[in-house]
Amino acid sequence: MMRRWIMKSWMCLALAVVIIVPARLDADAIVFNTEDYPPYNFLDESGQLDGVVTRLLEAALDELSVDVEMRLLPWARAYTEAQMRDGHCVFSTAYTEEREPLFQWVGPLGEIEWAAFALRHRRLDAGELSDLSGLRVGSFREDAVANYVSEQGIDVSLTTTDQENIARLRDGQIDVWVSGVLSAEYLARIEYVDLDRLFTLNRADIYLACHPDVSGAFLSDLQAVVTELKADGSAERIREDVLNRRRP
Amino acid sequence: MKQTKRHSATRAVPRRHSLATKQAVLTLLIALVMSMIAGLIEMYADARGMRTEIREQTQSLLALVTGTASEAAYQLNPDLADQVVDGVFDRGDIERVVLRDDFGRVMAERGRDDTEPESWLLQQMFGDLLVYQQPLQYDMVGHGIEEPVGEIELVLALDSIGESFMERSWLIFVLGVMKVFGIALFVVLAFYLLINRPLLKVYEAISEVDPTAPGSWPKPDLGGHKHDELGKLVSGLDRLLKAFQSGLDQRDELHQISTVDGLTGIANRRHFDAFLDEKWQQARRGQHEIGLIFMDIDNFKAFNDNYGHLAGDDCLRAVARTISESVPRATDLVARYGGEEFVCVLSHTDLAGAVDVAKRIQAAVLELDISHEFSDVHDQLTLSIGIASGIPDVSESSAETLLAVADHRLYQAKSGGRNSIVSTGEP
Repeated sequence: MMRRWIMKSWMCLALAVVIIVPARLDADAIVFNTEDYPPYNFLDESGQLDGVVTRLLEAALDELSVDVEMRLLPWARAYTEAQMRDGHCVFSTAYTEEREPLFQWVGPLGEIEWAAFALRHRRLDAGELSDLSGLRVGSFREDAVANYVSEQGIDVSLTTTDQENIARLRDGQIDVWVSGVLSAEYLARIEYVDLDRLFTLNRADIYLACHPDVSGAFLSDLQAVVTELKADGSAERIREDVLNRRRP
Repeated sequence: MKQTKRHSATRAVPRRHSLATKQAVLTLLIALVMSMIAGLIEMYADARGMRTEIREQTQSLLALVTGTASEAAYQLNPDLADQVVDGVFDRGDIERVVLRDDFGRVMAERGRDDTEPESWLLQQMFGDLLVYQQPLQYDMVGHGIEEPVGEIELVLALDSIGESFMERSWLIFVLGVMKVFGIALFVVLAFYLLINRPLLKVYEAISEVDPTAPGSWPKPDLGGHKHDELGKLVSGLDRLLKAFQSGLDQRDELHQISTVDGLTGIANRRHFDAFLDEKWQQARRGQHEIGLIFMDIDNFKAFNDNYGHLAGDDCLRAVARTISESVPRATDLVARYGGEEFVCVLSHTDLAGAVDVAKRIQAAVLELDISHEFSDVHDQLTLSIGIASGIPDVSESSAETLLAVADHRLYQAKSGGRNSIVSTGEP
């Protein structure tokens, strides 16, 4: 009787530990935050994390035999956690001068080009950023291009994820969408929206951005493997696979 | 007229001293104190109820917004955070509401800046209920595990809580006071009808009691109080007054007995002594004349011996009546002095006047026509009479001299052959 009770207690305790432990992030465990931003990183149809950068990082981590927890979050949270909380990194992060001192950087893992988009049938005539004043411009929180456009004096209406912006564009809630070219074209294809690329805004390399207190040794190991994967063509292969929707 | 004067001791009580007023004032005073206490207790109970209400309302408000607030904190979405904070703040009664993310940064905040320090009492009553901190949790990665994403802090405005408490409690207090006061008024009315009014009746009946005839007092009819203390009071009073009345009656009877001669019905010797003394003193003070007549039935012993005592008594009664009728003035007095002797006191009468009266008496007795065969002076009943009169000397203290003179002259009338009037000669 007593023994059974003790066993039950132990089982309860074990269960509690199982439940509690993942909720509390181990100080040593490293968390890679990311967002839904295809094709760099996104959830596929089966709910698995996928993407050009995701696969590249997974390959590098495999090489190092390190396991990290990857969490898909709204960009603002994913980015802020990496900025504020030890043990956290975030990808895919466009490298800018303003962001440079806030993080440790691993990459580049790819590049991003930003452009302004509108619905094709609107036939908007805008050749440069200043043409956007007076128009309703949409982007999402803590996005590098949103910050860039805002700094140029254009009002930007922000959402939590970039997917909301293509819906807003389609519904006429915004006139212009500033976004990453790859991502925008990828979403437009999925959502069957006919986009008109107005002009190119900027370009940047994308990185894994880590909190300053994350182990530097681990990050330089990671950097070394990434450099190698890029040099031996693996990175390019991954990119092709993802863009052609091929599973490895 | 004299009656009302004597009643002044039991004259109507002024309204402000009346029992009913005192009782009403006292009852209302007690009611006031009691109602205050009752009102305070009700206020206290209400404050407790209000505390529970405030806590529950605030907690349900927080429960209502926690989902959205968590969403805002999870997304780090300042617009949504603003909406949540505005929504909470606009519910009113809130001094400050803050939404913080899990990095401790303020995402949205609204507050009033017109906050003044509130009263000590309000602080004591509601001070511990003001601050609410609700941690915000969110299932961030969709594994069913909630992780902290921030907190919402809410500080209630003590002044508006105090205001609504004051409004409520004032109403409750006033209603409580009115309730107890209403009851008190009923009590006053009931006491007035049940006790004061019948008591007042008794009081009025007592104040109308004629001290010379207490037995005939207007005994009040108290209706339903026959068997209670008031009824007993009235019947006890009735017995007391009746007993008092019978005492007065006995006194009057005794007075009668002590001043009237039992056989003849005219004043007796004792009454005569007192009357003479009074009149003599008056005459001395006023320095006016006073007359005195002494009378004796002639040969009355022989009359008694021969005609019998019954006839003798009849004779004495007849003579007494006759003498009385001959002296009609209220200021004069006829009395039986003893045996067959009679006296007469005449105020303001000189010797000549007294002689006139004596002659009238002599004639009237003769007219009675009572035959007296054994008399040695006449065949009918006759009197011997001695008269004295004069102004009393101031140096004298009693009618001694006047009495002695009258007595001496009667003696002279007798020794001189009876059936005569003597008004001169000194002892």
